[in-house]
Amino acid sequence: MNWAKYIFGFVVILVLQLLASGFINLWPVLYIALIPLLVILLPPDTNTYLLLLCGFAIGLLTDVLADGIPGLNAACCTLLAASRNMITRPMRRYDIQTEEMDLSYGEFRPEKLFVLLLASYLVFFIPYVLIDGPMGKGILWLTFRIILNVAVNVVIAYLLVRLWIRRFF
Amino acid sequence: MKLPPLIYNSIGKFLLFAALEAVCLLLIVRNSTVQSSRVMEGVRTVQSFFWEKSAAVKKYTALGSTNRDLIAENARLLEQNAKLRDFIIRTQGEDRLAEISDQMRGNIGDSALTNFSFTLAKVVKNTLNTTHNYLILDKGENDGITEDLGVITPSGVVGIIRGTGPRFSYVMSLLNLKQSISAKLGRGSSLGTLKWEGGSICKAYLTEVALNTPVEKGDTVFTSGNSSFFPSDIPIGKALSFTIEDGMYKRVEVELLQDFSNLDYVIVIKNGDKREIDSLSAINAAYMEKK
Repeated sequence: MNWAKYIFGFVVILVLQLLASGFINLWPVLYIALIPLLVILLPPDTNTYLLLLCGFAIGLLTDVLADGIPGLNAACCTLLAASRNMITRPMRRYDIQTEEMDLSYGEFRPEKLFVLLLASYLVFFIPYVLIDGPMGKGILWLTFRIILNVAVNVVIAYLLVRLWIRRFF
Repeated sequence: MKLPPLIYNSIGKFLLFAALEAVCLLLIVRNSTVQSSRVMEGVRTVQSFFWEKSAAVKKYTALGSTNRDLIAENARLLEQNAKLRDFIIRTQGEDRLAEISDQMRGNIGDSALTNFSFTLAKVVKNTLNTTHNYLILDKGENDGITEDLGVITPSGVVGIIRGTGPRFSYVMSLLNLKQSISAKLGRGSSLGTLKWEGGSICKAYLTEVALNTPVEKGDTVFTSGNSSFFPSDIPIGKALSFTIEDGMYKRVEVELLQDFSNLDYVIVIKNGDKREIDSLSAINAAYMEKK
């Protein structure tokens, strides 16, 4: 793995995230989140401790640099980091068996990448919406917001990974 | 004990995850009012759940002592209740006693009751189902009760005290085959002896009534006043019918006014002249023996 490329890609995504947080405001309930990609696309063989610390650091960095609730992105990224291996292990095993190589997530086949992003964004957005969501809106509103954010972000992330980011990971 | 590496590793990962999430939560709570209140609300919900459960457990484990306390409290209340009831009954009884006394003085006349005093007593035992029935009263020698005192109620004669203890006294009931009372039919001078002969507790017989005494159904039978036990003219019962006994006397069937099955409080009558009367009677007895 080329760490220089990875760090470059990391910086690019972080900058994009900060730009999206600062300048793109389509709807208050919609949050364009690119940082889950940074957690997802960490090398598959990353140690779990390091994965947790990286997830926490990525989230906290975003919280500090962006104008949000401090700790919110960090909490969600840490949870995503903790569950990433559980989400990706079955997919990776399959690919290792069939293609006999340790694929990075950027090299996943389209449908598998989609499933990976979908699961990851669900893990990220469920706590995010529950913590951030306004009080008294009810379960239907929260569900709607989770689905909306997951759907929009999965599409954006998929396109980014397929068209551009995979070059760095 | 050494933990297997897999478990050790898992615990370490979990602790790191928990620590990082705790830091995040702390940051959120410290920097956002809304999230802080939400978190605190959640914490309070969890707290209240555990408080509720622990309170329920405490309550359950304390049921034994609560039960003991309740029983003790119940006993205390019962005792208090009994005292209050006793007080009320005594107060009412005393009022009633005064009322009866006035009534009797009105019916009988002051002169007949001049030397009589009345004591209220509670019936603590009353037998009805034998041929030698008796009552036990809660007044004894300590209350000035002696043997041979008459016992009545506003409804009629109950019996005569035949034995006393310091706190209780024994009454030979009118419903006793060995008991007889001097009585008269109407307010005239047709004397007789009233005696219960077993059977119904509502009926007795006035015997040795002179043949020339007119007897009508419903005539009232009174105490005669010829004994030192009862003042005269206390109503005892109503005449129902009569028969001729040995061709010499009338035998009157009497329905007793007193309901012996419902005796609670009675009045003990003390005759102030009794000692003098008895001593004079003793002279007569001694004289007869000499003869």
